[in-house]
Amino acid sequence: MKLSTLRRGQQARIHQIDASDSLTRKLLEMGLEEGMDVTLLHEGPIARDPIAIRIAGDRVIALRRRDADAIHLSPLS
Amino acid sequence: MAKQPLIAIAGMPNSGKSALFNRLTGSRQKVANYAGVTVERKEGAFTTPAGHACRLLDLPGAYSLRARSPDEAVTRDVLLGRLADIERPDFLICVADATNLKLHLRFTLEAKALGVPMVLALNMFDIADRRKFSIDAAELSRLLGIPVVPTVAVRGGKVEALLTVVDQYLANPVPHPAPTTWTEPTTGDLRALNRQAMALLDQAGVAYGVPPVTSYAIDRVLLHPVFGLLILMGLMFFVFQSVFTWSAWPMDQIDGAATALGAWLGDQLPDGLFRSFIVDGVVAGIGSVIVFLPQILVLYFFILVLEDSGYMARAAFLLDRLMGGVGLHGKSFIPLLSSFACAIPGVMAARTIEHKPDRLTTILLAPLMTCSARLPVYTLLIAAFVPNRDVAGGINLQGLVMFGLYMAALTTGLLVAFVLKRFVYTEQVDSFVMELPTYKLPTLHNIVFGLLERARIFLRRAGGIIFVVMVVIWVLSTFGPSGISENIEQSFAGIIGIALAPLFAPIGFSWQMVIALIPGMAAREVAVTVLGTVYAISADNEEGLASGLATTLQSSWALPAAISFLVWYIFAPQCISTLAVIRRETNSTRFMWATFGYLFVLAYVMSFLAFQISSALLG
Repeated sequence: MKLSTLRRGQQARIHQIDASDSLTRKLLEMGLEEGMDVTLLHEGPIARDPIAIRIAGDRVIALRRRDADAIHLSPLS
Repeated sequence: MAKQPLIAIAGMPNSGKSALFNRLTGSRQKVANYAGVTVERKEGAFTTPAGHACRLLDLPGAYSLRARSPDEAVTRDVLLGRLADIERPDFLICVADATNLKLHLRFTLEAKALGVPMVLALNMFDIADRRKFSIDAAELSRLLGIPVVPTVAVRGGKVEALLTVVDQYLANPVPHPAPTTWTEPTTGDLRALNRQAMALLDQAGVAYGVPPVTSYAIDRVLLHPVFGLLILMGLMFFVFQSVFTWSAWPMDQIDGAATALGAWLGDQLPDGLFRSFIVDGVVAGIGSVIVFLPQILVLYFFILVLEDSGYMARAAFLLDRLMGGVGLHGKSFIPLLSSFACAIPGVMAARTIEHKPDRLTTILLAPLMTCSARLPVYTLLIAAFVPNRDVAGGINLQGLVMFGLYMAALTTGLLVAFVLKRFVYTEQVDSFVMELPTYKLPTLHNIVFGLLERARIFLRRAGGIIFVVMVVIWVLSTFGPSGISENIEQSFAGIIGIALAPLFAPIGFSWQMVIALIPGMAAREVAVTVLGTVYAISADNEEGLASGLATTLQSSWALPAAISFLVWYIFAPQCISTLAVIRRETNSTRFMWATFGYLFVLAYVMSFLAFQISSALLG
């Protein structure tokens, strides 16, 4: 499962970040990391893009679906 | 220490860094640029309780020191002592959001490796308290090996503990800072730093409080796919209205004061060249600069409120796809909105866009947004040529044409952006990863300081350029080959206009119209005054001029020519000041000429089509 296919209100855990070096660094700098739980909160008004997710530390991060494609998730056990 | 010690403030975006800077320095601050880059250098001064006078440098907010934008590069280079125009700071205040330490502590660890003696300020500690966080600053300090103090930068705030630490350092400064162990972090290093930050927080027993539930609730409304967009549109409409209505009175006052001052000086000074220079060149020039200040301040008032409250990030979220579809960035929104008041602050606001192609596209589009200087020209021509009657549904025809002019510009702007993305900036699009910070009440203190800063920047950067242009245009329209010219046709401006007339004949412009374009390059609205001069309309006030001129134009311009002139004003690069600011912001004369060229071609082609088609239809 990818972050880009998560539904609104659904929660999952980041399994792997499979992005270019610069995007990976950007995501890490923004505090997104493997093992972190994410919940999809909002979707943009057009083509449901971008998306806003809630991550650990009660933070909300917005990113484009294209970029979210690079984030692989695993279901919460 | 012979020189006043230099203290730097650094931190991530949304750490409340600038609020802390304002709190410490008060009004003792100035803004300049770092040499060679368009990054703002904010410096202030303050005196510690123990009486040490210090300089304080507010470094641009940075997510990391790896420097993916010019702003972040400046933060890194200053702290490494790599910049020629400023020495390496003696002391660093690293600001972190106390409610967001997992994220902000990673930056602190990275900054620590730079070797500058530092203190960590746990900012917004009041919010952390309210949300029942448990943070032991003393324990964090022990683990990090640097002083850690809670701070509150807003609403009277508390910064005493921070100032005590600064005093302690200044009483016993380190003559040679530790060597830098910082290297650009790889993804592995970042992961390690993140883990280290987590471990530190665990060890220090930092416990998170309640989630920002109010923020979440507000977001459910403001980010709603339908209501969110409607609210955004309503808000934009309100901002837009206010920019014009709130500033109307001060603009009238400034205009009146400039006219009165000109008239008074005119009475005092003997008739002649010097009087004309002072009244028509200097006073009119300064007047035309400050007359835009009210609009710019109203606009920035809204921008600051929306930014401080956290809404701007939501606006970027809602609009990113729409803007992204034509190759723009969610962040292009503010520069383009500003450009409806004046393209100059719009172009300057584009510097917040990190990705260069997105920034350049935004700058190219800014002059296409209908700035308020076009309004007097639109108003004049619409009054002269569009009948004042209602079309279906009580909609006024004149209003409809005005709206059409705005929409024509906006639609063309989107098309231009699309073409640029398709054929010029075809490289891969930038990623868009952005924090949506929790909502906060804006503080009056920050907004007042923000407005003062914007006013200073506008007057200094743009003011000089506009003023010089006004004076040059005065020289061109006052002198001719045989010295002072009695009427405008014999001045240099007139000669240039008449010489250029054949070029503009295919788009239906008479030589009188072409002459009006040249002084109009100083500021678009000046064209109205020049038309008055060309057609020798004498009137005591502007209303008289406008109505007299409208009548004259009705009889001397054919309708197709008038339409062509309106269309020209939608697109043409009619403002030297904007072009000069573009050159300055992009650091490229070529880019400025490219902007001029594309707008000129666009205006010419569109006016040509408008003229030819309307001539054919109206026979």
